[in-house]
Amino acid sequence: MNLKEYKRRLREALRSGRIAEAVGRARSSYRKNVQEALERYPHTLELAKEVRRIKEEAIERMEELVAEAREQMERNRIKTFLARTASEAREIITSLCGAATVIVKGKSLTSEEIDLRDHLEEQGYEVYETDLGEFLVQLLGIKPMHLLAPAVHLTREEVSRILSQHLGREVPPEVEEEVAAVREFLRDKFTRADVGITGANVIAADTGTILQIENEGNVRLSSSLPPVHITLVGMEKVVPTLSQAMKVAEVTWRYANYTMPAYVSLISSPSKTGDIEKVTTYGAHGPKELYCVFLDNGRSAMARDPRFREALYCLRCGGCLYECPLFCLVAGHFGDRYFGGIGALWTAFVTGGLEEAAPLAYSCLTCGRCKVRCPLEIDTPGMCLQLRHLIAEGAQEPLS
Amino acid sequence: MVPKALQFLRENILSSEDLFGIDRSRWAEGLGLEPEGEVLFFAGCGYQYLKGASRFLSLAQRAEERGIDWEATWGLWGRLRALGRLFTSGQGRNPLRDGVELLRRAGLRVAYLGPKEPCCGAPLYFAGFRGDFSARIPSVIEALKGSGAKEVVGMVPSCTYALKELMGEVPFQVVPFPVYLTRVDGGKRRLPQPKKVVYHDPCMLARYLGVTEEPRELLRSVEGVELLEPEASREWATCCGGGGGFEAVFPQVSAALARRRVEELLRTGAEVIVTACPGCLLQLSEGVKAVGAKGVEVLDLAEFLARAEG
Repeated sequence: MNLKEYKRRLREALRSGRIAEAVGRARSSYRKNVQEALERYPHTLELAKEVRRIKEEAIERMEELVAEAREQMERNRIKTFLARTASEAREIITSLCGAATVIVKGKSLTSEEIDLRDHLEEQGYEVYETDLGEFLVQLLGIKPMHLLAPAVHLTREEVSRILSQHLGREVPPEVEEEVAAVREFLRDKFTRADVGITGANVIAADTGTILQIENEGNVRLSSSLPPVHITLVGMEKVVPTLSQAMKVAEVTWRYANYTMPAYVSLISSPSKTGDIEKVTTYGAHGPKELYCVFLDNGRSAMARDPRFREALYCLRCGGCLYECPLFCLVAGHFGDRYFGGIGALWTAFVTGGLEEAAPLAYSCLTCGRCKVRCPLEIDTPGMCLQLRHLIAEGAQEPLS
Repeated sequence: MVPKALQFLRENILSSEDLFGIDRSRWAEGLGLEPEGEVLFFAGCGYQYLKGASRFLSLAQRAEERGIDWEATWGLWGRLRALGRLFTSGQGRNPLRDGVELLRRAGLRVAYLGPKEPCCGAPLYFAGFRGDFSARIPSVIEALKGSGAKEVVGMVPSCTYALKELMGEVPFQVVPFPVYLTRVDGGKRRLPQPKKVVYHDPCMLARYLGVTEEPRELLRSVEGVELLEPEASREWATCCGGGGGFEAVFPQVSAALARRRVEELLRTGAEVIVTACPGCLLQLSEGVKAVGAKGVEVLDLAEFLARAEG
């Protein structure tokens, strides 16, 4: 997208005014909740410093840790793959889905990154997003507008209109009614699904454990009801140990406006039982087959570049977006698959390239408030300036 | 891939040591400032263009509204040079002059390089032209050193940041104006009538240079000032929408951001908005006009303090 087109998009987003109102409400509640959460669990601040050190080590050793995680997973009967590109990942997942008909999905930015849903639908699968916000976004056929709250720009009145239209019955503009309508609609999809696809928040290399944080319960259903579960995860999510993974997860959810999430899942193998003659048998109540697809897609190049490595520390809590003045005006229009200043960096290395990233890099205000919010104090404005340097004066080192 | 507006600023800096290619030293006419001394006043670029830039930004916004790719219409930029010339005559509003007067009243003899003051190059750095920026460092340092300065007092936060943090070792101390003034100031000031004042933290001052308390101390020391705090202040202050060349590339969005910040500031009930950066000053002034806040003044810290002199 060139600068002119991008500017036009921003102006349109501005004109509606709805986005700013909806994100403004979300921001107020985010700030209040996180402040309360930090008062209730004051150890979080120290923990965040430790998590920074954990991520520094993990990104330094990224390839090695992915190899270790894969080895442990394979020993636990999780079949693993390492996709170096988005198309490789799509092919692997499509072949794993095989003769399936219905697929349920937990929200996953990584799947967004590789356009997985669109791809699977093109292959003829019936795919359902099961996260409420993501489900709405799917119905609307638009892109998500926030990392964690994809429908952050929609008001309850708009949601009522969308649901009434798609579910073929009147859904009143009451949040509770709206949630119930979606629950009822998706319940049947969960039980019919042949495959569940989810992301992961953290991976522990030493135990090969997949950690998932959620509130709605849809990720649990997606990972346990269908006979096949596929997890797609970026390489940067792996940390050395399970106890470190828990620390990363806790900091993530606290800054992601969860205080304490309803569910934290730790998955280390397919469902199994040894209750009859101590013979281990797979596929008791949960899935019989479990796959984990690690995705590179530019991450290893980023990890090798000391100027941009820090962008891989991002936990995707989404806190920075609420502090970004531009994001609060135009939401996900300031971004590609990933949003805000950090999104400019991920666009450059992962989802787009330098040319796609240029308008985003130049629309970071470099005001620095995202860095104040970030639990890991990621210097996003500093890296956006580095990105501008690459754009303006060319790469001192190749950007691959 | 670099936005044209930023390329234009680069060309000006490289060819004539000024963002808009004008002589920006005329604000100091009649002050009798010497080019040599231990305390050097660094005026930077920004305060000289307030009036011209305001007209220019509104032109740019109107052009954008009509779907004109205004960045490509270079004639407008040429016109800004003329507007800038009008304003740099030293007449009327002049926060730089106020800054010098305040330091003088504190008993200091300040030097100023006049037309020989180099551009710090910060806009080059922020636009991504790091090579250009770095190449100019030795000559910038040389020019400042030539004044015999032990201390350089920076009026513009982004210039101050560039001189202090982006040039490696420099043979002088660089001090932001509010910090310097707090250190030497003994002035007794009062307002003719009590006023509710809110201070807007510039990003560069609060988050990049870590200066949040000195401007507040200076304001609180003025009799009759009731200093109010917006919900988002100090390191959490909301950007005025004019950071890093943003206002030049995205004038409409920038104006919307300015309005939002003004709304945040005025929610405190303030009658005066004080800040300490020419970019913020311009943005917030435009924002106040846009929201139609009658009777609200937007002043620079130096201006505000100078006006409150006994």
